Amino acid sequence: MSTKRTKGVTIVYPIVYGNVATLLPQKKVPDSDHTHKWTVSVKGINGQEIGHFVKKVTFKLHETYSNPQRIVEHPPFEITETGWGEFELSIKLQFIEGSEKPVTLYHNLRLHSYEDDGSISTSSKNKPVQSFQYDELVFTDPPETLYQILTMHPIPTLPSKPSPNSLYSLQAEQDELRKIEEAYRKVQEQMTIYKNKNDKITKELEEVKAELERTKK
Amino acid sequence: MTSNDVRDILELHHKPSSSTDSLVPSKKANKSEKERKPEGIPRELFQLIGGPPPIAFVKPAFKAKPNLRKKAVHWEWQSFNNQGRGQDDQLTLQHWVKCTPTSESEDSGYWFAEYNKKIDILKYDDEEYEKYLTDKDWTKEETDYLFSLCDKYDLRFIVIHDRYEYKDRSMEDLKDRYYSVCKKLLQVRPPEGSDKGALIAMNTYDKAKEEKRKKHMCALYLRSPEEIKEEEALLEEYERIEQNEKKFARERENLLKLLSFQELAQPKRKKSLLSGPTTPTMEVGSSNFHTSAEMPKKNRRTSASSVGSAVIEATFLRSYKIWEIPLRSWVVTPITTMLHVIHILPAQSPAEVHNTPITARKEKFPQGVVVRSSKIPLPKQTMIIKVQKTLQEFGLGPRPSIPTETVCARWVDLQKAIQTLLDVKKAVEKADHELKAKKALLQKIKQNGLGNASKSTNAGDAGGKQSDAATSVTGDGGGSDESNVPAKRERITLTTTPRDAKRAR
Repeated sequence: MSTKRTKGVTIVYPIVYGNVATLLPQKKVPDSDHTHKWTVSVKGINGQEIGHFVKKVTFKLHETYSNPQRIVEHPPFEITETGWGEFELSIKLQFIEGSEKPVTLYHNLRLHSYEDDGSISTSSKNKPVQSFQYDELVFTDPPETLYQILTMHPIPTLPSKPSPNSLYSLQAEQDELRKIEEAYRKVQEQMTIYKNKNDKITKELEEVKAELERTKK
Repeated sequence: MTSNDVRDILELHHKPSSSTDSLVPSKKANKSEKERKPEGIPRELFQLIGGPPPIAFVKPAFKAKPNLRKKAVHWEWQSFNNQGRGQDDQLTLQHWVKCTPTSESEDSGYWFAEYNKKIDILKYDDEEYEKYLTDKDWTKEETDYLFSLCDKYDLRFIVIHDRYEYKDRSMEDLKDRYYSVCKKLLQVRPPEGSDKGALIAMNTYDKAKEEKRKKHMCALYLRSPEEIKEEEALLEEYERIEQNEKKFARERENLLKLLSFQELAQPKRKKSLLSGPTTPTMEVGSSNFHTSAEMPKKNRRTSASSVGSAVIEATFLRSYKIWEIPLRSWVVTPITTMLHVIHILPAQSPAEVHNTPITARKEKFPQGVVVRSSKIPLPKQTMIIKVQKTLQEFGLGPRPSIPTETVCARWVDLQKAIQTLLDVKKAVEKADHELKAKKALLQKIKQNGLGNASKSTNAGDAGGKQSDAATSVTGDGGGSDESNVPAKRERITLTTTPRDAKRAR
């Protein structure tokens, strides 16, 4: 374990993972009950491959699948399968540098398109259903090898505006931040309201208690 | 000793025998047994255990009568000289000596004299003295005198110093002279078989060092308990600072590195931010930081470490009482201010941050790879659902959709705020309930003016609640019942009437 770590350095690598699913035309495979074809993948946010620092990716599918542990050792890190049900699968990334512990991501496979309120959309849309999640791999004090590799390859940055390729952008981040700030502000408002209420009530309580004492005597 | 005596000693049960004289001792044995019941354990237990265990004993072995000689040995009172006392001594003492046929009229000398070990100290002659050993402070006479004493007292310098009557010299002086003479003699004399170097090394005596050492020892011995405590606390403080020094130094370096980065990007901003905190402790920290930031990179490291070492020295040299609290904050606040600077700077320029994802930032993550969304702390088990509900109301899901650093930080803040808000809400509701109850109670008192209500308040909160229940029940029962029920209670439970209460005022 002589790998030196670059202390005080943190590298953030944003990734996107999730799945696309398309409805299978029923004619093709009549005897199976698989209704959808789906592909689950892990990539950089602009579609970049992460093979330069990821050694292998283990996709753990539902136990009803044969070989539920699917190992992919070179990019593109994705699995394509057919099925009929939605389940949670785990994606374990193992890095080139063996001393770094593998990270596990969880994803709920989505096959059907949903309305905003969660009910399954009944209109037959032939567009593929997508469900992706943005996340960031934070490398704290990376070992030398990883550091070299990560600095050599360009690290994807969030594009400023959303595009058909990537759902995640700086703008989206700003929107989210704004929402959060808004919520925070509202919470603070509520807090002050309740604090005032609390003060008022405690004051009244004191008065009533004092009065009770007086009448007791 | 009769067997009965033995049995008595061993506390064995008496042998039943018909003879009268055995009955008496057996009674005694019985009595003594009963009397001796220990008080610590109950009677039944005692009967079960049978009292204290019998003492371990060795069976009386048959001891033969010692074979004493028939004839007594003859001892003689003799006088003797102790050879160990030296040649000049003529002290004659006397002692008993056994007269055996072999040792008749044989003066083999005092048998303990051989244990008198003497140290062979070096001896010099006048020639050698003239050549090598002259000293301004020491005359030949005095040196000779010293050596004679050393010889006499076997180099026991404490005794020598005590008996020294020539001049008023300290023990270090005497030792110094003796050892320097010996060393010189060893050096000039022809080499002997044994290791000369080692002998010389053994004879080196550093007078100044010894004096200092003895002074320190005295001081150490004479410390008061308060001083001892103070020193221990100081040591502890020092060790703690040592341990943290490395951490602080590293952090300081990181900060300086980072700020040198940012300096290139936004020099103006940095200055404005630093002008913010103006408390005296922070000023020191920021001033250090300013000067070090301006210095070229090479010196930056030394400045960081010098700050650290200066801090450590300050704690170590000065009394900790004065410096303890401000020093700790001294060390900590410069870093915290710098940290605040860091947190402020990136937040204002997220675009820039994304362009330089490799930064020397102080992340709270441990070493290794971490998925950011997994590091968001979850609220308490009881609160999770409520918090999620609240988030839903704001149009946010259970986790942020774009978990970047800033988003995650704000998310955590939001979660915490929601939790506290829910707590406050709960507390307010509780207080509100209490207030309503007390108000109702007050109303009751005012309306009825009965001691019943006052008694329930005397009983305290528990009683208050009961009366609340009672009043609520009566309230439900209707107006007419109100007067009846309390009136009944009044008769049964009252000890003081309203008249008494009025009198008391």
